[in-house]
Amino acid sequence: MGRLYREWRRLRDKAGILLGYVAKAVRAGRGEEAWRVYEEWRSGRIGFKEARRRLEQLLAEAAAARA
Amino acid sequence: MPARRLRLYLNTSIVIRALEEHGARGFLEECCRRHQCVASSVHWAEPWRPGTLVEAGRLLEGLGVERLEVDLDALVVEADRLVEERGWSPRRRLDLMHVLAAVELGCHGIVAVDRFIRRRAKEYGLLYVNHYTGCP
Repeated sequence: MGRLYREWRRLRDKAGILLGYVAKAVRAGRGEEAWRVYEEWRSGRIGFKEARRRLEQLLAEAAAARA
Repeated sequence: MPARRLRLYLNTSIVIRALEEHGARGFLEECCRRHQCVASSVHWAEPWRPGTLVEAGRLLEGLGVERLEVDLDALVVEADRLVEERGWSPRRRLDLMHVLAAVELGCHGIVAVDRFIRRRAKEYGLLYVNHYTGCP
C-alpha cells in the first residue's frame, strides 16, 4: 500500500464524517450551503475542525428556524 | 466470440492504486480497453490532494473513462440513511455513495480494492473486480 493510498483513506474517512452533516443539512433544506462548506474543506481552503464547526452551526440554525 | 462489453464503475480505491502500482495500472488499462469504464460526480466530491487530482484526471482521461453525472443530494441522504440503519461506520458514507452511484448508472460491476465495497457489491448484485480477481 503506497503513500497516496494511505493518505486518501485518511481523507476519505474524514469526508465520510462531514458528509453526515451534509446529509442532515440536505434534509433540512440547507444542502446548498452545506455542500459549499464541504467543498471549502475538500479543496483545502479550511481545515476539518473548522468545516465541522460550520456544519454544526448550520444544522443548529436550521433546527432553531424550525422550532 | 468476444466477451460481452460490461459497464464498470471505477471506485477511487482502484484509481489511487493504479497511480502507485504497476499491476493495478495494467489491469485497469486492460479493463477499460475491453469494457465501458465510468466514473461519476462522486469522484469529484472526493478529498483529492491537488497533485493527486491532476494525476487521477490525466489517468482517467487516458483510459477513456466516461464521467457521468449523478444526484449528489439524493446519494448523500441515502448513504446517511443506510449508515444509520445498518450500523456501518460513519466514515463509509463516501464509499456507499460510490456503490449507490454504480447502481443508479446501471453498472454491471464495480472496480475497487476494498472489502466493505466487495460486501456491498454482492448485496446489490454487482460484480466486484480488481487486479486480484482479474478482468471479467
